[in-house]
Amino acid sequence: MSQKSERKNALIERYRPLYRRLRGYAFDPSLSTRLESADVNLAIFKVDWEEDLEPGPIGEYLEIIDIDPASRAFYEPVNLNHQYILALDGLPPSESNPQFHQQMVYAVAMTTIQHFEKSLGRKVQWSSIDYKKEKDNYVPERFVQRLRIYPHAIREANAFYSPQKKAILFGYFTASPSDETTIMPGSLVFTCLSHDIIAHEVTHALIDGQHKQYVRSLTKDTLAIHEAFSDIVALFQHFTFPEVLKNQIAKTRGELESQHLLGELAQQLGLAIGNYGSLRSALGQKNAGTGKWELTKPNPEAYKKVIEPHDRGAILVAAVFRAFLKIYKRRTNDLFRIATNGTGVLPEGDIHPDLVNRLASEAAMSAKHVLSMCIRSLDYCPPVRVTFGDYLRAIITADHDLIADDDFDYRLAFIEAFKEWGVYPKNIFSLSEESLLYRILNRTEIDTYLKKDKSFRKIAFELKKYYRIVSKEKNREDVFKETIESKRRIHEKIRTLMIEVNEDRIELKRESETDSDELSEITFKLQKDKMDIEERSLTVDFDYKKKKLELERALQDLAFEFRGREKNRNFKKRSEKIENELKELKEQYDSEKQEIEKDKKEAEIDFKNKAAHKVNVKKKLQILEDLSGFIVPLFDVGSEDFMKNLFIDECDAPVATKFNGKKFEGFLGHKYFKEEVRADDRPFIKVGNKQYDAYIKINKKIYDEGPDTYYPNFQVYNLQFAERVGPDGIVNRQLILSILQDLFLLEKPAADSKIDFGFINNNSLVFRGGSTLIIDAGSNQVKFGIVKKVFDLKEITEFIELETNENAGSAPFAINDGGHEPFAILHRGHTH
Amino acid sequence: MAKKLKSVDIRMYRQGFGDCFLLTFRYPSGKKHLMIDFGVLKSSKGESKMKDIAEDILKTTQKKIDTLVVTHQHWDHYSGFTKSQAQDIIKQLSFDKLWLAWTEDFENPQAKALLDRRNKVKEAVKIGLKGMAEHYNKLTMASETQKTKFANQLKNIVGILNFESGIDQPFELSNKKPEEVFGLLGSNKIDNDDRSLVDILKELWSDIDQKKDFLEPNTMIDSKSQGFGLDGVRIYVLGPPSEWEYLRRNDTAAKGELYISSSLFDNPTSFINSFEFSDDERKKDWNDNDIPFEESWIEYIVEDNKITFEDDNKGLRGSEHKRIRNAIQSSEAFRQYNEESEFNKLRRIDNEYLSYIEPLALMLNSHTNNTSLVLAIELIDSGKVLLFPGDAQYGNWLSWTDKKLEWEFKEGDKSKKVSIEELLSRTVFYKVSHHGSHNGTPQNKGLELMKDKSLIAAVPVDKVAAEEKNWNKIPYSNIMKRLEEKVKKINGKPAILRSDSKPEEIPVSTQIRVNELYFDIKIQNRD
Repeated sequence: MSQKSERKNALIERYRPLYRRLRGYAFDPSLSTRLESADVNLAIFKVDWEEDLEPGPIGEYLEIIDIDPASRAFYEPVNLNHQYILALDGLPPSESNPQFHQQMVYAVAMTTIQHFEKSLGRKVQWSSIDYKKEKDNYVPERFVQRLRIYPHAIREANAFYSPQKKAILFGYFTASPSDETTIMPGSLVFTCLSHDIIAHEVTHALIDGQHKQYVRSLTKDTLAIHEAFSDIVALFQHFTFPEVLKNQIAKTRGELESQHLLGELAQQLGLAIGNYGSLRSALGQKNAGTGKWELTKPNPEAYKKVIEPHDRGAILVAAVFRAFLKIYKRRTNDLFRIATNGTGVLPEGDIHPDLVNRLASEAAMSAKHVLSMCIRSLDYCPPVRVTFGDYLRAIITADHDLIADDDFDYRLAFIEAFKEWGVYPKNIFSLSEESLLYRILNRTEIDTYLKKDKSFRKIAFELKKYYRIVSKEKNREDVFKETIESKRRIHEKIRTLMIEVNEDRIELKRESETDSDELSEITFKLQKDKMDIEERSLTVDFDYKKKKLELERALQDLAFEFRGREKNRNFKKRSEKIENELKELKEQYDSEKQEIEKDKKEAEIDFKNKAAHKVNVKKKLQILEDLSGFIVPLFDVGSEDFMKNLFIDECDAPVATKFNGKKFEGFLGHKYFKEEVRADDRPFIKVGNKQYDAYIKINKKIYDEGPDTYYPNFQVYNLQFAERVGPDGIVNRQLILSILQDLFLLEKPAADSKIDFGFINNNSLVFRGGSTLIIDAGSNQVKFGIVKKVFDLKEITEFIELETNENAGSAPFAINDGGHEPFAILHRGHTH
Repeated sequence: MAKKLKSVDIRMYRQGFGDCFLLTFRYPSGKKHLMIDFGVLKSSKGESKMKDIAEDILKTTQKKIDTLVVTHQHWDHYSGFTKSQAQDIIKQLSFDKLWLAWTEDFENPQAKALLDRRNKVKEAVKIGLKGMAEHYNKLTMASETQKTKFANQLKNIVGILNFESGIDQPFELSNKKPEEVFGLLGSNKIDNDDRSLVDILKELWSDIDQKKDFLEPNTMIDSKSQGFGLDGVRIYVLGPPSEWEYLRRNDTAAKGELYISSSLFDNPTSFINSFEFSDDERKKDWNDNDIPFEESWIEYIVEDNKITFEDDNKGLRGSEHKRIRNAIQSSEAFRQYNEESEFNKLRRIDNEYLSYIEPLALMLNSHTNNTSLVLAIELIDSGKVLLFPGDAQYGNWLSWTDKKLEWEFKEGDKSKKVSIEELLSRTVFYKVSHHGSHNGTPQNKGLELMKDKSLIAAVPVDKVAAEEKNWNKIPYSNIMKRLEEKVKKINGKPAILRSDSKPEEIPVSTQIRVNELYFDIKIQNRD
């Protein structure tokens, strides 16, 4: 093709464009039919130039497939590389041309992806295809090259991301507005033409790519964060359109607290389904009574009461928007002072266009910063059970990590805004920036251990290796493969560490079986040994003295016998012999004494070492538990008790395949040893009148040679590399490691204390915990640890309550979906 | 001078998931009766109890009651009147008055319009359902779980249709495999169900035309009203509201409506007939009017899960069709969609558009619930109020306070006003709406307005039967919790009467009597 030959031309290559310019709606088609907004609704999306973009469009990240099964129609895929389309900055916006629809979803989705890549400092990955077990082997996690987008998938006022399909399904429907002057009743509304809906759904997909666990509602906040975050991204992307921004700044005279288009989401959809205004508004809404727009006041009660994910999410959106307003004000105070000669009161009428430009650039800057703060903080969120409070801490930590000097008090603005909405993180004592940071306690000690200890060093080595490979890798699929491989190896190393720690603990336990008190045991042993040696020494002394006395007596007797005959040969001979014996005795005694002294010393050293060893094992265990949040139970593989308490977990590994001699990792359900729980001494978790007991799984690894090993089940869940550039030009290279562990909550039968492990199945209550560790890629130092303890009694109780009570959908007759399409159900009640 | 009303006995029958209440008004001169609803959910064990209940009603009332009330046309409120249950027995009962909601009066043009709308939606759901059933066998879905999910969806929809049908015997579902359910869809059972509540009751009592009253909201009935024989009480009609804006609302959250369905509900014929469900005629002439675009599209066919195209296409010039076909067939997008991997099978969306049918069915169900006749019965001397809201959902409730319902009447010579807030605040007996579902009892516009400390709540529910149908949130625990706080305590137990209560959970006192068949609650007409 001619294009190809052109590509070789170095002269032309020099002008290879950075961007592809594509036209689209800044909001949605409804604004183009309103005089006041028509001129600002047209936006040019600058999308990274993809040379090999296929008709669809199908590129590196996205595949748009325009099939419409309800209509039994396949739409012609748009070729954005067609010369006319290239020359025109893409197809002109049109509701009636499906090819423009394809272009629109592509442009907005790519824009959203680019915001993420810029903020995260790496290429984004879509959520992978889960590993699965097929008969006797595991199919590992698989790479998903492209997110699939169906612009006309369903005939509903709905659009949703399907985690299972790795696809976004957009719907279309006929409008039934409550106010017929705003939108034509019966006209078609396409959700795939709304910037906000596209950005929202793509964000769902992007979060899922990083935090797969966030579709599981372990806290009231989890799904709400998914929704809120998606709205936040859609919202702040509005501020990246300069024309809209200037127009709205002029209209509101720079006061972004009043009503403006930027803070509204999904206008057309809202109108079309009979809402009075947009579907959601971050700022406020029209008072249904007066029809006047009102700013939503922060309501600290809402966070305590509102449960439904969209409404709860709205609290977070409002808090973030509030933070944005504070930042914007802080940045523009001087401009307002200049413009008003210090009075702060703007004169009537339009403000000066120069002021508009300056305010717009400050607003754009503030929005850009807020958006990237919000996105970057995703890396600093725990792998499971995320709450709004965690999110605040993540924002503060992430920002602190990259930007040392908080010149405009961004972080304070966030803290204040969250406070005003009553969102407080748990387990901290003050709302200062210092205490909000996810710092690691006794870091120096941990650092020493990580460097000194062989097992920890092996993990660190794997991380280093990963960083070396991945920092140079540009291909997403190769990065994925390397990551999978590294995750496997890191898992192996952590596993080894756990096995070692367990073995050491068992050994220590055996040694101290007679006495459990460590200190007195050591002293006792030490003293006992000392006494033993003392006794030995006394015995030697006694024997020596006795023998010496005997020999001396024999000498005296001999002298008496040979009195006056001292020169007798016989006498000389015999006395010499005795004297020799005495000498020998003395020599023997001395050497024995020396030996005893040595033993004495060695014994003392030995016991000092043993005590140190014991402390060492404890420290290792503690670091492991602190950094991971895991339960690391103590189990004695050799003991009868262990085997007795072992239960085959049918849902994970059929018995038959488990012992087929191959190297195979099988799961065995195992009673979680409660005596190891230090957190709480309550034996059972009580919720209402039900009692639950917590279990973790013990994995068994079977080797061809050598004995089987056992270790507590856990997952290396996430591993990322990020390279972020701070405002001062310093590059921050980090590894983000997330690990997690399942905790099975089995209901205790009332009368019988025995628990049927057949209960562990796909419907079991599974609680999760784990941690995200932010590791400096160069020094391998753990900078921040975001830990959610697996055994957190309070949160477990809340989780059970949530599972059993409050997870009610909006439809009482709706069937239990089993989590297949979490967003479809969620959105069906709400639309997008 | 009114005859002195001494007390009211409320007999709540315990047939399971369904309503039946017999109220006995006691006067020095004798007793009078008012009966509300007579139904039970199909498949719940309570079905066998319906005959016993009918016998008990005949015995207690000497076969004569003053007024029969049927709140709305849902199986669990009227099934007892059908042949399959207790028709033979209950038809021996006679009454002076039959009260139905204005929405059951099909001579009322507004009610007729509502019915038409409902029927259209019902029709759409049925078409969709049949389409889904046909699809089930040729599913392109990869995983068994997905197939099961789809099948469950189907069962659920049929379950909802059961509620809406006017037929004699809805089919039993709980133990059936999906395949069997589809078999039933082919039968005419599901088609033959457009009888009205009046039609159903006429089978038992041919003379109801003279006795029936269709009650309108914001009206009041007392002994001065024509044909009404109960002294010492006033009966306020709260709902159903006449405005569509209220009838369509089923949820408390302002944005929590099922929008898709509501937009389809507003205009059910508009867009619902996608290709799969159109008749042959329309399929043959499938054109721009049936799909959202006038150009750039061609019709496809599915053969063995493969998307292919016909040689020519209607409505488009031959050459244009050929060009588009070639463009599609040579495209990566097309190849990706047709790819044969397991993962791609999972990603395809051939059946996804059918997912609107379930929410549509739910919407239909909620809509019928919102047509519930809502009565507040006031015992004049004591001012106590008994609230029977049927299965009213959010829209119905909302209309009372939104429209600030107020009744004005003469008491002796004085004119008197009673507001909705006052009625709710004096409520001492609340028949919990919609079996305790989360959208049956709104908090701020309902429960929180009931302020009387001696409140007793009655919940006709059977959790086991509800769970069998996958309705896991009935009754909704948060509402039950709040009720526990609001009602009075009897011997330390909250005065909540659930038909499925275990004996030890039931608060028994001189006011409340219990046996297997019913609860009796005595409300004294004095402070």
